[in-house]
Amino acid sequence: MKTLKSMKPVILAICITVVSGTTALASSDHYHKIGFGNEPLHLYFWKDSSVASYGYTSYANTGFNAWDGISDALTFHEESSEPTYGSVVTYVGNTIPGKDVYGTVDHWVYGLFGWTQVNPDDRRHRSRVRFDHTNLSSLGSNALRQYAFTHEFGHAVGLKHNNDSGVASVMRDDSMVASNNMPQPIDKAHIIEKYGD
Amino acid sequence: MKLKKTMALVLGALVFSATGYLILDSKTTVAEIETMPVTHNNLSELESRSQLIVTGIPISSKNHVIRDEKGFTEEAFTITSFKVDNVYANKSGVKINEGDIIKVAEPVYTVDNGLKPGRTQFVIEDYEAMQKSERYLLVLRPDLKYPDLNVIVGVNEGKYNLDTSEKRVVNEKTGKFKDELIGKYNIK
Repeated sequence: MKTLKSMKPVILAICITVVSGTTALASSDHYHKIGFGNEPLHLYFWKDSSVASYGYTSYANTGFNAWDGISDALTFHEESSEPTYGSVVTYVGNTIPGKDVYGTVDHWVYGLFGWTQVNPDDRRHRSRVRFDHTNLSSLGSNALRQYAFTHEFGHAVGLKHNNDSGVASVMRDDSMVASNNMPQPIDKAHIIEKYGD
Repeated sequence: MKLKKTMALVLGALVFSATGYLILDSKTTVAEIETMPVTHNNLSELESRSQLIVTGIPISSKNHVIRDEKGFTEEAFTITSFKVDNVYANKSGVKINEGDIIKVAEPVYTVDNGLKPGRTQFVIEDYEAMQKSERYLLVLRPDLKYPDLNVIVGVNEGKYNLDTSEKRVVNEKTGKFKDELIGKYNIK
């Protein structure tokens, strides 16, 4: 009893350290708290047939692979059949009804009753990336189309928008800079910050 | 006696848990959908992509969610009935008069969390759903799948609250577009 009482401050200190440490690792203005997780991760990339049908295969491949090799803790490979866990799946449609967007990313967990959509900050099993062909085709250049693809895959691997003033980033959504259509130094730094080197 | 006491405790715990679940299940949390909205460099670009520029008031809204066979959302937005009080530009080919009600798709939708209690409202970053009895300026184009449904051009670049109690703009560009639209069409 006496021992337990004397251990209380130590236990409290350990709890505070763990909670603070977890919070410090988790929160950032530039990436989501958990997503697929912050530990070493292997993601499975899959393209629906619509990607090829609309002629975006190379954009999707380039955009997804752009995020490979930045962190040793984040690796990818492409699957020929639709994966479940740790998956990034891609579709293209003529339009995304109800929204005037180039692309959208949502996140899902797979449980007892199937797939449920989750908050981008929460644990996910899948990121689903969808593109609007009508809006993409109105973009002025292939470089800008590539920007859209790389940008959305950046969300899929856990990055948030980055509209910081004067910073070159493929995660900007207030403007699209064609020459920044691959992960920029700041984007790579955020990937390393989230997943480790 | 002991059995009765145990049963009473179990029943109490069940009632307590059920009540707690019901309370939690009635709550809605807000989460973001990560998108890349279409952006416009200037007002001319914004207007060239629109077919209708109107002001008015939202009067009702309906959650619209359609899922595929695996449960993924195929279509997800809110259909808002919008009562027009002024038409400033109309290239739609359909005559719209003051007092007419049009349907507007807002990039907001709500889903049930399944077994996990509560519901989640998913919304495009920085977008705020229109509030009833507040007046808005909308820059719209027809939805490609549902021609009688109007989509807000550029998301935050096509919706502006004209209510004098709240002049909220999302960023410098949307603030500029709002001022330019108000100046160009003499919007009161």
